[in-house]
Amino acid sequence: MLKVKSGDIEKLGLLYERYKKRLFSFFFQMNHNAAISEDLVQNVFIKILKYKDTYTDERKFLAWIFQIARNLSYDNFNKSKNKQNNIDLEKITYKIDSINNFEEKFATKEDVTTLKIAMQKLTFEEREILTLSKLKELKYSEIGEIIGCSEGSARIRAHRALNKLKIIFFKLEKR
Amino acid sequence: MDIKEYKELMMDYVTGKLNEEKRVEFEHFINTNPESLKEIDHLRSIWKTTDELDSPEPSIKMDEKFYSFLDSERATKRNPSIIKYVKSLLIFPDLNAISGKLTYGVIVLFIGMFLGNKIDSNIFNGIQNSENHNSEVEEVRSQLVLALLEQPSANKRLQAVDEANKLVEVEEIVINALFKTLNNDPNTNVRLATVESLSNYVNLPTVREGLVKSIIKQKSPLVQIALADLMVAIDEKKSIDSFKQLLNKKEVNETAKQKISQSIQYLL
Repeated sequence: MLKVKSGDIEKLGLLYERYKKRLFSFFFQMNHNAAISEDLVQNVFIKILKYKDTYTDERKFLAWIFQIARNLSYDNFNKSKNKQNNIDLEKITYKIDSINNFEEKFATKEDVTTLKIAMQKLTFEEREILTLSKLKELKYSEIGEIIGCSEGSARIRAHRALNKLKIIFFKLEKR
Repeated sequence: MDIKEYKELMMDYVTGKLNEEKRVEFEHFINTNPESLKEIDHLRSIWKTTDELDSPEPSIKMDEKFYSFLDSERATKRNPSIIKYVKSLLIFPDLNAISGKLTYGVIVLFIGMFLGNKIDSNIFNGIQNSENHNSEVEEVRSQLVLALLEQPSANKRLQAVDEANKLVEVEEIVINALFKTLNNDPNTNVRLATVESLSNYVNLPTVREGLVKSIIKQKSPLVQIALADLMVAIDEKKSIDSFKQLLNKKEVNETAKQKISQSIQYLL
């Protein structure tokens, strides 16, 4: 990236090859639209060139590129005004503790389908933090930096989002 | 580890972000605390299942769009607008303060300096930079070839082979990918195009060797004939044994067998 910053834009091709799949996957998990996700990946690299001077080697490149991606994803979300099926957790009376064979519950294709639906019922921010948490190279301090909160807050948000996903999943399963 | 630290680190553990030392410490804690172990198991199970939430592969259009964007950026960078340079000189902040003839004098001086610098850089630096530039283009093109060869569409794979033909110095990884295509691609046209592409690098011993090894793997008479022609053209006598093995195969087409026999005669 530092070479791109110094004007060697050919290196952008290498960055693209290295990060395109992870970026596409991030966008797709957020909007479930392959065409839009591809456009957003393209926009990430346009922004990289535009803001290359703001990058310093003190920052981890993955965190920087995902901060750009996150902002694009957020803008896209606001534009499309997708209907969010936010669930009021207080209305969910189902008790997770009553499940005995928890691990066995997550085994079938049907469960994966249910989980996909459950993911879509999370808020944008919840889905976002879980998707970012998937990137093993990113520490919570960096995820916090990407989404604009402290490291501790990022961990708490991720924990809450995962718990909520779990609860929604079992609510859907029960139906 | 206490309960506070456990709470802090639980998401790092579940998402695989803990280092080895902390992970061992964390596991020791949960193994001695059944309630925590249960909680972690629940989170870990659902987290593991989210791995199944796969995304489709991005289409080749995304690559095409990106590389055309990169090309246009490259072109813009190579040919900066002279008008922009002049304009940038004209908006020199102190220029308005300078009056009449002096203003024009300064402008002419700057334009002269700019043009002199421009000509100098075009003639001297340009030559120096072109070598670096070319190697970067080669690198990006190699990446494009590798990406396109993996595409499910035969047209895209043909495009990859076409791009490979534009490479001046081919990397080993590209050669290997081309051989993988020659030996395994389900499409005959792609394999034929690959033979042609690899014929550009027959000066490399590894390519000659790879082509010889590939003869016996080919099932299409068209590819067999193309390889026979190529081996004759480069006078590769090591291919004779492979062709003889091919002749012994019942399934080989008669026309191909005739061509192969002729080629063996030429090579002997």
